Amino acid sequence: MEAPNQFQLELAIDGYLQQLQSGGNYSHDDIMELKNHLLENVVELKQKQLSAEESFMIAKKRLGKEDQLNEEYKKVSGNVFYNRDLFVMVLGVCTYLLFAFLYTISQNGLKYFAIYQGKNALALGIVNYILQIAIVGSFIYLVFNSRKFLSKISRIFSKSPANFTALLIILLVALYMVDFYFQRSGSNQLSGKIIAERYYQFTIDSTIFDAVRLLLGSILLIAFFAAFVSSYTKVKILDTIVNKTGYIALFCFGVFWDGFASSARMLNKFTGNDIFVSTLGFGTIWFIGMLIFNIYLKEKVLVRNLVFISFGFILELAAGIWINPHLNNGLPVSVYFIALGIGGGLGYLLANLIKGRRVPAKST
Amino acid sequence: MPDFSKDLIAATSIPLLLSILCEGESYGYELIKAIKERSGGNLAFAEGTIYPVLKKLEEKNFITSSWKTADNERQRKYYRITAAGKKQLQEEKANWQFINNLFENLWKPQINFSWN
Repeated sequence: MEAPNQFQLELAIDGYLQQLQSGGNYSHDDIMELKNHLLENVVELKQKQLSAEESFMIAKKRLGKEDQLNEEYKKVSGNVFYNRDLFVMVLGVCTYLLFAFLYTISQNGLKYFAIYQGKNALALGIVNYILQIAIVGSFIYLVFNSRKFLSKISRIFSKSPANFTALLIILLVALYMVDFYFQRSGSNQLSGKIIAERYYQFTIDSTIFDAVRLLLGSILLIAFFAAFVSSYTKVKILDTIVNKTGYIALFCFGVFWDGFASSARMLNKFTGNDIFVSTLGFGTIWFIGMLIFNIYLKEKVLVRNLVFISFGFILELAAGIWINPHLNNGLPVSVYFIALGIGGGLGYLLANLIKGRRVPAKST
Repeated sequence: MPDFSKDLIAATSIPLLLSILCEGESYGYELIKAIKERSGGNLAFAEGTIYPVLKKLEEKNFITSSWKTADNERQRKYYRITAAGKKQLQEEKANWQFINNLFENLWKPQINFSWN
């Protein structure tokens, strides 16, 4: 009888906290903290042979009267607006844009210096790669520590909302302009042949550079697998990504995963531009992604799957339609899209076979 | 159980929390338990009101917080005192000691006067 009792207790606590939230100014952080407090207290009271309901009632009473709590929290929480979901969502989008700009600036900026300024392409290429890892890494760090950053930012925001908003807008516009400049400038100064040569040099004409990419890619893959295999029951990171992150963060992970899968394209270099091998690699990485994703996925199966795969789906479809369809050895670029469909679909099916869940129709 | 006024509890809460956090990092529920134990269960207050105080202390940079996963897989928000917090505690200590001495002097049995 333990399980149903526990479930009702969580429901009761959530209901109480919701009621509290509606009457006062609580951040997500505050509510989580109060919830944890109630749970700890209930566990302790239950050890004294009290029922879950009795324990909950006592814990609630000890916490204090609603009015009193509302009043105390209002004193320290500033403006109620900055704890609302909409604000958090807008802030999330801005943060994502910020990182996306930094990511493309690092890529386009260094490419610009390599192609149009004739600087050392290999050195810039390596710097580019390190920067990309750092940017993606710090973004992931930010997502995992979002609660901490959010409470800090909402505090700064509530102190001087106008200044902070202006700063954010100026920063985003400035970054966009820089990115735009690197993308556009100098495109008419050099002949297409020279650009192609230098770009080739910048991206692939270096065995060292390729080796570094391959090494880092393999380490990433092995680390991911090791984490997955060694702690199928324990790992919280994957569970958090798959089940608990918001849709924006989930979408971003989809973007990163497609980026990771796209790195399989570098296999072309080793196979004399035989697109088949890199397509296979690309599909395999999506297969692994969808397999792990669906093994951990507990609810909202269709929606979360769609959010996760949407970026790769749209990008590869668009690439298949708009990019020169016979770019690689006569094979159309859209084979990547097909690989994504097959790989991802198989991963989804296998995950559900493993879990013994009945597969709903048209879910990938 | 003595009946402390709300104002008195509010005034003591900051040095009280800083003193306990000086002994090491802790989370809300544990802090409340520590206060209860140290006061022999005589200092009663609405438990939930400790969190806004912690929030205020964090805002003033006297403490920092971080979420950690406990052994029971629950997420707890741990608080840790900062250098500024320790400095603040020293000041609070001096102030409270001054008040304490003042009252001690005021309330000392004044035997000499009445016997002259």
